[in-house]
Amino acid sequence: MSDVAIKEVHKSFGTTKVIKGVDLEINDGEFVVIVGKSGCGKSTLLRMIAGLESITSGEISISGSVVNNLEPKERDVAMVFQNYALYPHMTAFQNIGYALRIARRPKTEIRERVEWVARVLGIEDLMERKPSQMSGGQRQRVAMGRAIIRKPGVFLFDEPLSNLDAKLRNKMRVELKKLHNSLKATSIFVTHDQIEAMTMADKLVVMNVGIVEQIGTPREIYAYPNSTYVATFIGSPEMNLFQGSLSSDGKSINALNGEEFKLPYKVKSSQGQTVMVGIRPEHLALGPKVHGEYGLMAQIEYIEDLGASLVFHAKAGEQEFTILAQADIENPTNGDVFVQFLPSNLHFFDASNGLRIEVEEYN
Amino acid sequence: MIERTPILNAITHTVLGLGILIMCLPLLIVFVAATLPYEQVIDVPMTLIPGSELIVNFNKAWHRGDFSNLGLNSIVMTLGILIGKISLASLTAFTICYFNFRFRMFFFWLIFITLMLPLEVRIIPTYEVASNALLPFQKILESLYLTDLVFWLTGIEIGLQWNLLDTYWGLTLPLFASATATFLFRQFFLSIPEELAEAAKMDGSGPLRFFFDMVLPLAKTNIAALTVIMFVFGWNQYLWPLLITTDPDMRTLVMGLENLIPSEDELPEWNVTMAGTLLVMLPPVFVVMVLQNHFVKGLLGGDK
Repeated sequence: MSDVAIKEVHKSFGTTKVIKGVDLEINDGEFVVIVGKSGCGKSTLLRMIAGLESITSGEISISGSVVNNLEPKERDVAMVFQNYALYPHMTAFQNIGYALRIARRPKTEIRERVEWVARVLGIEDLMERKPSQMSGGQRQRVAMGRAIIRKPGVFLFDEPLSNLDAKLRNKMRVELKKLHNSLKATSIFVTHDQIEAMTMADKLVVMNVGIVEQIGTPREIYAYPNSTYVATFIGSPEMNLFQGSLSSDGKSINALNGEEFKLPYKVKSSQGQTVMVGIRPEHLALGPKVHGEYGLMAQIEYIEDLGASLVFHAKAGEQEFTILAQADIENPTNGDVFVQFLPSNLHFFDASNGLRIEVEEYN
Repeated sequence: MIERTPILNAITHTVLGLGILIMCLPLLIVFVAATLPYEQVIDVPMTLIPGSELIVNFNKAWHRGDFSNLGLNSIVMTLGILIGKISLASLTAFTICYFNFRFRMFFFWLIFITLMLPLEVRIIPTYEVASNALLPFQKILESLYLTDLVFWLTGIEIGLQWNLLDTYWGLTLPLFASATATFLFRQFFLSIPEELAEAAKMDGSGPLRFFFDMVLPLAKTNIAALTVIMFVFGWNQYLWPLLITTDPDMRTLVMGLENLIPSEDELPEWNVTMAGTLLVMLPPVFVVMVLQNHFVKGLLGGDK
């Protein structure tokens, strides 16, 4: 059991800066998910923690001691790779027991511990098979077993579920989380999948081209995204963004072909600033226009049926956006509709740098 | 490919048949001659129907050619070259693929260029080195005036000397380096996913451990393919052993065949000569037959 501290870490490959100063504290036993688009440096960061990449500048410490110059095996970490990286000529038993064999543990101990791992993961009957004789999910489990057997302080997962089909991925997600609950080991999980990020994380870290955009619980990040990047990355379908301009007192906004909305709060912003107004598709609703309600006229162009819910692709003027609604809505039709929302569900971002603008209540 | 081309098929088969005939006829004559008694083998034209004297001829060839001694030499030389080549080539390729050192590609190309320098081209300098394997070091010391310095300081003259003539080392060591094998190993190592090395690293394996636990077992088919090529190469060495051995006890089987060729004042017992030839040909044939399956797989580079 260990905690991980990352301080002002930079990484460059030649002249290309991949990580531009990351600070991150990970507590003992926490399940941290690092999420971001491909190429944002999340895997590089993980590999730096593992010791597979050198650290250009900054400091990474595990359990209080700086590990910058330690070999991977001296760091008390284990890693599950994206393509499993099982040793193809070894059976599952040998794969899982390899680390202990290298550590020259007695044969009986290796056997005992491999059997324990196999029981935990429910793969007892795979032990004599080679990777080529296993399915993707089974290989995944063996790869996990190879990490578990060493009882490391920190587990590192590099997109371990991305090679599984959707159904199995859901199942493994739950299992992995259960496993974490029983082992209680510090885990760092890298993914580009925002559903994995939301469902698994105790602490969610959203990365964007070499920097950390936001750290928080999944709930916090969903409810209060720090920037347009986070806002559009977390949540599916992604948050709708409209351009608008604030009135001089910050109490009303002009958006969508000059329509003016009075706000029941004050947006903390310089006068007349151009802002991005965000609202999640699930916070938009279709319905008849009632006086005094917030809403806009739009045209439905296309409907996606997801079974439990419907995604409406709508257009208001030139602005395209999506609406997520329950499937029990009556007669969803194309054409002109009234789309309503609550002002409390609006998010405001600075149009120039994409950062969140806070609002303040007034009576 | 499914095509109906009866005329083309007939032509291909004829060409193939002709090729087989050209390849196999000499072998057939060797075999038939080895089975005939002396009286029949000197008949003109020689019959192509096998006789019954094979064992007798084998026996004669074996004793006349001193095969038990030469055979041992041949086996030692062949296995020496084989093991030497494969260990050297696999380790070299491993270094080039997995270690990030300065001038890595320069060294690789240096090795690769030696493809253009087979033994026959560099046989005189190689002989010179074999007559004193430490000669290059001696030359380096001399060119740096270190020998003169030591002589001036201590009065001791440095003369490095390691003679490889007429030794097993001399037969094998100069043939260890193999650009072909190094290249083949390198190509295979490049196909091993990098994650595997990283996983092993995380499991606490050092580079040599990784080499023996992962790389070598995975390269099994490659090693088998190289074994076939290198065994035949080593077994058939003629020029080099001829040059480097003067002691009759150090000669190899291929060289020993020469002694079986009848000279002018002997009975022309070609049947014995052919029996000897047949015996000398057997080990490579055996190795090819045992490993041919791996040979094809290894050269195609697939494991399945």
